[in-house]
Amino acid sequence: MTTRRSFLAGTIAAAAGIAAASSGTQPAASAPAAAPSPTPTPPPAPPGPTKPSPLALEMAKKIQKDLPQAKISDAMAKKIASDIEDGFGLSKAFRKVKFKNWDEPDFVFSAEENES
Amino acid sequence: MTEAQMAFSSISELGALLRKHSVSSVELTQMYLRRLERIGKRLNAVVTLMPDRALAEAKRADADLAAGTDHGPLHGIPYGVKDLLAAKGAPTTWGAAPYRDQVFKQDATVIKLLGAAGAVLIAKLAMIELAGGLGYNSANASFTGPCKNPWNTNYWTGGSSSGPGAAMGAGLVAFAIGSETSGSIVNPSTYCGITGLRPTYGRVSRHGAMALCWTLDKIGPMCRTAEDTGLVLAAIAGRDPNDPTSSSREVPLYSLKPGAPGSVRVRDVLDLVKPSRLRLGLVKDSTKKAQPEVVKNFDKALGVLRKFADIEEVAVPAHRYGASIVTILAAEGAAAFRDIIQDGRAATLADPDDRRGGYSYLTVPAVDYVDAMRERAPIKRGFSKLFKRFDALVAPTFGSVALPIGVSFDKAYPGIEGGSPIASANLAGIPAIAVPNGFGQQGLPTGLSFIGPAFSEADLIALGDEFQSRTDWHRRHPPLAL
Repeated sequence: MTTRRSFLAGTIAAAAGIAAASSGTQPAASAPAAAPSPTPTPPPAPPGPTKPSPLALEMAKKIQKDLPQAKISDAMAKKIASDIEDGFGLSKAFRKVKFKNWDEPDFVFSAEENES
Repeated sequence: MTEAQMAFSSISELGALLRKHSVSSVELTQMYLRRLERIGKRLNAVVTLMPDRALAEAKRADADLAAGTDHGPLHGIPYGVKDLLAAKGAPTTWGAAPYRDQVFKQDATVIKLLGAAGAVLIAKLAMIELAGGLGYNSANASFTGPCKNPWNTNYWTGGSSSGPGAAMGAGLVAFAIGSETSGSIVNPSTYCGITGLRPTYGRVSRHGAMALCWTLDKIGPMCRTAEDTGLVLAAIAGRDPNDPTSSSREVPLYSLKPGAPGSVRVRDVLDLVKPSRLRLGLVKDSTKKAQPEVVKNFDKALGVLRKFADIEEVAVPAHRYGASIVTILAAEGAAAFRDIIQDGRAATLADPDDRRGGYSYLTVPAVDYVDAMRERAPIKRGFSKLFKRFDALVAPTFGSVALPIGVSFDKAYPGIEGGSPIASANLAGIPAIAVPNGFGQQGLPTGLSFIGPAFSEADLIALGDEFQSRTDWHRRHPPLAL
């Protein structure tokens, strides 16, 4: 089971750990131990929703405008902005990871035609 | 034998009764249907009962057996599936209001394979809506209501395979099929005191299953015993041309299937492969912030394990990969459910966080998703390095017992953490088996997990079987089901 908020809380807390990662050169096993695993009993979550930045608010408004069928209320848009702000935290974590050019993503793409 | 004794029998025990003609498949099916109706509905564990199809399959199983045709260990055994697997002609709701009338014209590959093995499909079981893909934060995240834990109905079963957890915990089916993207088999298995196997990514075909995350989703058995998980995996593992991610790797242990009636002792196989003592890596800090009863039960379990294994503490990749799994879940989940996010049907979901979550997922930067996928290679390398030193890792599966119904997850047990490395192990695609190891607060089960290298299910099943041969936690049953 996963919950986004619990992951986010754990992720933010472990951002320093992510910064230490250097995928191709530092195997995961040598990483410093952190509290293992996201659990359904989440790490202490930030109290209340994250205060959204002007950019997150603009992005939420854009979604609200672009998806009229979804009928997103202004109150909902504010909460979405808060979620987007949480997402910025994830991007920040990735910016700290030192990938090498040759570190390939682990996609499942294959040039072979599927049998189905 | 009482009804409850029969209901809680293992697959091999039921198989023996069937072959001695002490009971028929039709009788077993009728018994489980009655229990699903009587107990399952109270627990919100059932989406759809399938009496017509079940009784037809059971009659065929009885006729085959009478004619001397034995399809193997699952022959005539009634089971249920998480309602994300397509079953021809029956609703396949994905636990979500927008899909409650969805019907497919064919069975998922797993259901076809189980049918070929003689098993009897009797119910579609409850689940967290969309397998939790849009960020739920409460037990109520299903159009069938919160799934109640058979050990204490004020508490949740765990998710997202909530119905299979409740149905196995209460003896409502002989085995169940669940799915895991990141924790959804091992979580309800632990909370409900049953045995759950998360197979290696690609081990079991997902054709006909709801997609949440194409690069993370796995289908696996939820059973009473480790041995039973092996018997079920034997029937469902293998390459499927309809699922390009399914592996064509040999399934060595499970070649013992069909035609091998009755009990298959996986431990005997392990003894042949590993005559020396096993080496287990104890996941460092896995009990550091866990509930006291979880720690106590795990320490006792380590005492059992030390009788046949050497145990050494080891640091394991953990939370530093939270960003990767959240990003992959968000990006793939938003793609999988873009239709209901865009057209507003997400507003009909049960959990407020699910109604909202998909919109922010639409903003995940592509570069973050690619980097999240780049993280998976070093995670796999890290685990591979560990598995040169250890046959498997062991940890309490979760740091707490089941969460209360009616309280949002983030407020349930403040400060409690710990458990097995679920995010990193799922990112690596490696298997785990969760087994019960005692009881904690409110009379709720606790459990431990063994985690092994890719395609090491046979060893994990054998480990679980060995542990269960020395303990009886898997033989305990909740009073409401007796």
